[in-house]
Amino acid sequence: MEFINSHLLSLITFVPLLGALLVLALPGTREDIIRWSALVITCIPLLLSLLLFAGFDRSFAGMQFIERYAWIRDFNINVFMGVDGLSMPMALLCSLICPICVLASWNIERGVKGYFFLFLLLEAGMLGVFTALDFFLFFVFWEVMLLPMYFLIGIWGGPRREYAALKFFLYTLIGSVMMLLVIIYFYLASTPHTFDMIELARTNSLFDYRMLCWFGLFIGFAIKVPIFPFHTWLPDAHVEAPTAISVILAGVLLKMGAYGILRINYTMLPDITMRMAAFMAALGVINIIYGALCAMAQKDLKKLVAYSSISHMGYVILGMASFTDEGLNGAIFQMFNHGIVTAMLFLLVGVIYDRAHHRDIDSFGGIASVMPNYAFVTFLAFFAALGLPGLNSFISEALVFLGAFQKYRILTAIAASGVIITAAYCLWTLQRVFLGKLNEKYSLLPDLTVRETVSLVPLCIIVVVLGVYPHPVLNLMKQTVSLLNRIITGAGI
Amino acid sequence: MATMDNFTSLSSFTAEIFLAGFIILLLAASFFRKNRESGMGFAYAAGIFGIVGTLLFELQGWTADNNAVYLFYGMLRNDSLAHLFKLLCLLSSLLLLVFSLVSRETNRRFDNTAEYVLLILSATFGMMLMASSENLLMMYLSLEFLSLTSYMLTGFTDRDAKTSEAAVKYLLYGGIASGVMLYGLSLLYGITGALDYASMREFFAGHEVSGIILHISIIMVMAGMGFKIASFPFHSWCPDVYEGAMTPFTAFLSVGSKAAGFAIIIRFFSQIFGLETTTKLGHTFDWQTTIAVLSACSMTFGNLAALQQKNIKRLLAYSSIAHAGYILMAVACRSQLGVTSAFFYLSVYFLMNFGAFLVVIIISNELNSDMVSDYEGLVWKNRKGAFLAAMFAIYLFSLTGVPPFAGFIGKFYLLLSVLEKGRALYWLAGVAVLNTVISFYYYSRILRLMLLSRRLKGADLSEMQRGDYLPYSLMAGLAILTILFGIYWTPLYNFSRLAGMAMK
Repeated sequence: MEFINSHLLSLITFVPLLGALLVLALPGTREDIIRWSALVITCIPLLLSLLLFAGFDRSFAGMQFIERYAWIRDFNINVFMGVDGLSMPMALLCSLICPICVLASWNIERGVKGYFFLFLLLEAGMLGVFTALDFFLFFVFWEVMLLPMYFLIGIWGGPRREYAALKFFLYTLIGSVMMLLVIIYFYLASTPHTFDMIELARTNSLFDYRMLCWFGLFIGFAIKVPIFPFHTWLPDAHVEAPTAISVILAGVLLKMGAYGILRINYTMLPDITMRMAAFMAALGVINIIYGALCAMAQKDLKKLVAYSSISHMGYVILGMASFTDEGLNGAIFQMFNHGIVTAMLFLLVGVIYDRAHHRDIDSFGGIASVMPNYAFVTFLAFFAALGLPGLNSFISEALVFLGAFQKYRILTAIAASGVIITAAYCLWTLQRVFLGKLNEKYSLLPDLTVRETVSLVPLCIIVVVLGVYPHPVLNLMKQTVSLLNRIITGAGI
Repeated sequence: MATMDNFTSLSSFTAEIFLAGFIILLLAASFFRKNRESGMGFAYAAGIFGIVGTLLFELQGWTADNNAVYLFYGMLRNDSLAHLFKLLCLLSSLLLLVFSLVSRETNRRFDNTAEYVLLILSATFGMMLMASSENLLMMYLSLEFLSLTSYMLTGFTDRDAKTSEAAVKYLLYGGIASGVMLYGLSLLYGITGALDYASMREFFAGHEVSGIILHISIIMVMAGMGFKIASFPFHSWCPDVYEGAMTPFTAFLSVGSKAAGFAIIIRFFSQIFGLETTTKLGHTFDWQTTIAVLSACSMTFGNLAALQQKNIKRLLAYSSIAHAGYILMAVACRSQLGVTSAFFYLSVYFLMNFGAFLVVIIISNELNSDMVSDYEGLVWKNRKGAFLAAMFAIYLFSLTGVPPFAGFIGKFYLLLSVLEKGRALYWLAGVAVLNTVISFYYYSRILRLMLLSRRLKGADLSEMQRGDYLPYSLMAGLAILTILFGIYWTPLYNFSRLAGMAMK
């Protein structure tokens, strides 16, 4: 127990990695054993991160659960990990989504062993990104995540999977090579040379070419978020990926971009960030409106959810750019909430696709009468997505608007119209799929199975509970957010 | 600095003496064999024995004196850079012999294996001299020695017209390149009146020389050296020769011969003109920019040309042109860190490129084809196909430079040494990372066909047999090293640093 407590973060990160190797060692023909062991392995980080959640000091703004091991001494590269109020909700989200995704991938039939090997590798990479405090380590995890993603989309995806996988990989690679140059530049510019993110944030005023570096990092992260105009990989990747991978993409991967901006651009180049505030806010608003309008135009249910992700990430960017405690809290909370809600939406799209083998919104109709449980959960998810009071997204979106309105009145007013468009496409979709006359073709669709219910119910509970009582998550980030805000506004003056 | 005379030099020259003696012995032995078909196994065994023996002598010689010594009145300089490059070249030759044993091209149709092995050993001898030459004449002669044996090895089988075309092209191109180089060398001799690097360096430190003449002569010298490492614009032999030569030898050309070429480039520039720009001549002659421009052109051209290749060997040829560009980037840094990174990258490149070629050899054994399109659906064919595809994926990702593979660490050091030089070379780092993205596009084409496509094309794969264990375990070993050095590379870095510290 002592050992677990003192190595919590490294266990959370490396258990999936060891698990991946374990899965590789299992015989490929025993597919059920592989599935179950993947489920058990992904549950371990979840349990450990609940320990993390319990032991997290909510009144402390800095890094907690710090671990540091020398890796490459000559270049001062360390395995340096820690969490604060910024990364804690993300790590929690990631470890929660992964077991659910294993459940959602139960019906994968081709190359089961390879699938779960890559999946566990992906989980290790994602958790590593959120816990790493060494810039080099961060980059390694950032890139390690790419490889499994390429194959998971490319091998197990839909008809245009090869194109989507390549597009995803190339886009992210362009972003990450720019980031690499900045990382090396920071390393060389700091004295003594270091990759320590906290140290770099403390001594950041030494760097030249700050604007260039800021853009190098920002574009790298913006591609991941994705911020308009770097978003075009997203609809392809989300639509072609298998259900569980869409969930991971939308639920966790998109958050990494925003997390990277907050963790790196904000702390290491606060003055430039301050100067770019209006620019970022404008991009956020474009994301909100553009994503929502695109979503409204979609005929494919999955594509609709994909575009809605772009729109919802816009709120995150807008909140981040406000530099108020409310806005930043709202942005991070929105990241968490969007992770939960969009995971539900993609799972639900997967459920209907498994049964009807298509996702054309217009050709459904009246499904609510044959699949009442499914309809209930889907209504809940879409209501959460459109920000219905009493559900979690409402609180985060309200916080974002509250924060942003203090700084950008006109932009926020425009962004608020995005809420209306969102409500429009959500309700319109629900109406077309679930209400109206039942399409006879689908009169025999079975309702949610046990496996599907098990994967959806925890998310439903979170949506409702956080909608009424958001403090468990908000308390986590409060101190760190106000510290971050002080750093930025202090540098801007 | 110790300059030894001919007799005392011999004690530091044991590895080369052993190899030369062994070559003569093998040559004599090959006269006495009865029929030409038999003795293939014997010839390979003898070759491997010769290389391993040389390797041991080399290691023993290195541990005996770690300091730099000048042999044969300053013809050669045995320092840690020389030792490390010799080790790399010897290991390349060793792998060439093992690959030849494995490959269908070299282990069946041959009826004169002994000569083949002899030529390989001779090429190795040439490379060992290249790694330590500190004299214009010695450098030229050893380079020619390697070139001549390479021409013969390229055209060694009369397989088809492509092979003959490749050999003739290589010979003609190489002849011209070395002629141009010789002219450049004679200009240098004319300027300085010296042949050995140390005296030339002294001359440049004390005299001002017209930049134009220096530029002309350096570019001419680069023609010969660039030919050896296959960098733009001296690369045009490379795709044809890579395609026409037997695949094991292609692998060797892309790694061993390239490494030897880099050894003379690094030595030439750093020992004559000095690494740090403190020498007086810096103001008119700027070789740094020349090399940097060559490097940028080489990687961009190689990667763009590779996009359209349909034959895997041609594709890897263009990729090797691009990689020559990456490594030249480190040479252009003009620093010890640059030399270190160059050697580090070469040793990583050794692992991943030999690995990639081993996969190509095995696939070509199975499918009887080098066309990328025949790789389609490889992973779904059987367990062997899955293994081959997984291995190839590791090597290709490493060649792209993605963590956690050693190729990434190699690129990291290259970029680190470039950025360390300050704003003069920032543009080069930018070009390099953009090239990384371009390169993934064509590597991914192989990945897509092998792994993502569900159509099965090309011949079926055979089941695992006893003879397969050697190549497959070698492949796995190279892949494991590629991953291992991507996760923990301190040992490799410490070796590479020795190479860097030898140059000043």
